[in-house]
Amino acid sequence: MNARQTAKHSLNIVDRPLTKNRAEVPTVSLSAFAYLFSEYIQYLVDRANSISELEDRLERVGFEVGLRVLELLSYRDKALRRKTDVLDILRFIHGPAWQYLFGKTADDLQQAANADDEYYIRDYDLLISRYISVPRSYEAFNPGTLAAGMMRGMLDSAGFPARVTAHYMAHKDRPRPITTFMIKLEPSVLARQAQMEAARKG
Amino acid sequence: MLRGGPPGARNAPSLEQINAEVFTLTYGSIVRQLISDFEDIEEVNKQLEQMGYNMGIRLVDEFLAKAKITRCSSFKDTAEVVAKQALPMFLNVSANVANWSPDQTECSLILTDNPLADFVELPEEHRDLKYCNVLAGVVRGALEMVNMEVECRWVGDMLKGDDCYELRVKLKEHRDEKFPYKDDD
Amino acid sequence: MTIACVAFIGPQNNPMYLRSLEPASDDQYMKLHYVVHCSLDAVEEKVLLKRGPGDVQESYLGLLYPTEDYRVYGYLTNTHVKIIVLLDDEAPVKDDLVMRVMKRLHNLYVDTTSNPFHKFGMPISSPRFDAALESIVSVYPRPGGSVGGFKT
Repeated sequence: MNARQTAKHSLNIVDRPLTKNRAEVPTVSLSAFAYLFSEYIQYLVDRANSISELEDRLERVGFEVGLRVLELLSYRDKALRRKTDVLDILRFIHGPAWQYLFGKTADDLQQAANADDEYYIRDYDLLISRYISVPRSYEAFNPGTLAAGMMRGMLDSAGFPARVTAHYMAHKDRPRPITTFMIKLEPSVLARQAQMEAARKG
Repeated sequence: MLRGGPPGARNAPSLEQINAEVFTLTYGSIVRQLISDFEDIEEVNKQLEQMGYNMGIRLVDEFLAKAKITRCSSFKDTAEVVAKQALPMFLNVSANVANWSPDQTECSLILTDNPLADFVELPEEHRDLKYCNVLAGVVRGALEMVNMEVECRWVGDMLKGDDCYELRVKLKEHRDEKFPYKDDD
Repeated sequence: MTIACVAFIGPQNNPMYLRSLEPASDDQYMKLHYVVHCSLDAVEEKVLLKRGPGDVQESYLGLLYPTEDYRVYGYLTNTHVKIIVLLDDEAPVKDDLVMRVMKRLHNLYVDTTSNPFHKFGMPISSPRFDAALESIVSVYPRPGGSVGGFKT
């Protein structure tokens, strides 16, 4: 019985230990993922009327994944208390969530200089984009949009609705462009944060 | 954190890995989007097969390069390689080959563990969906690249209550090898 | 421990699932819905009370309040899903025991959301979910009866 099978969900929930063994993460080859992802991109390229439509559709796929990933991680990660703070959830995404999704933590987490509703998470070598080739006429398209959707799904699931977009950026120390995710929180999130701050002080 | 390589495959080197659940959830999300793109479930089934086929014709190169197997001459050998080396290499699961037809042109690939379908519960309204059809396409595409034209069809589906995933693979035509090189050169 | 009812409520306080563990008439179901609905206020209160810095936001909220017929227990996931369990024991039940059931119910919920066909926020309609919930609850058999009950 390989690790995949033991980790697999079964109907006999009562037999399952309450704490999931996080040491054994079942895996598949990155190739399998990359072939599937490339093929789906091609499917979208054949159907979408614009790059932005292509990105929207890909983002939606990621969004549904993100919703589910946060549910999974919320259950399994003992350290994940209910996030009430923006920085808490962003740190969680930058750290444990990225580790779960892509095998390592993200590289940077930064707040925008002059916008308190805007944050950046950077990955210098995004796993899911690594072996994806994009048709030449779609050069402006960023496959990292799938991950952007995942992030939006996770944020939404945790109660922090936001818009997330993926951008390539050249980096002087890196052979290939890095991926920067821009996270723009909805006004409702900031309003709630402000309310909480006031309650805490008052 | 990411285990390298499948425990069962002896010859196949370990490929870079990704969390299986991310793969499973992404595939599930793709299937669901396809369903909302097409009104007809049969169209979705076709689309999944076609996507699989396109994937299959591409992944053969990687497989042959990394598996270092001697070229298979028979359909029987090929089926075993798919079940015992290719599936473990790419999906970390292995399959069994069984139910051979008397003339050795048809067999079943049988899986009980299938990362494509983890967590999935097929709703009643999609009971005609061949959820794993991408796999049927991959097998067809991959075998075509080694000059075997096959037809694949599902005869067992755990999402429909069967006790395994059974893909029936039927050899239609085995074209003569036209490679410029042979094993003994 | 005698479980009378299990309910799952979504982040927008939208009911997603309510199951009575014994046969219940429409009226009885209305009553259960009402009790569960009222418990949401109690959930809010408990959560607000733990808002201070350094206060750990546990998922298990414990006994929310007793009613005439039931003891109402609550659990709040990180995704703001509330799991409400109604016990009709006379004597107090150990928190450990209730927590264990809640965790299993949470696990069940997570399993069901992992299904790509699951629709978030919508009522849960899944034979597999029903069966799994029964197997969780049947570990604590109701005196004199099977795990019966119907859900709305």
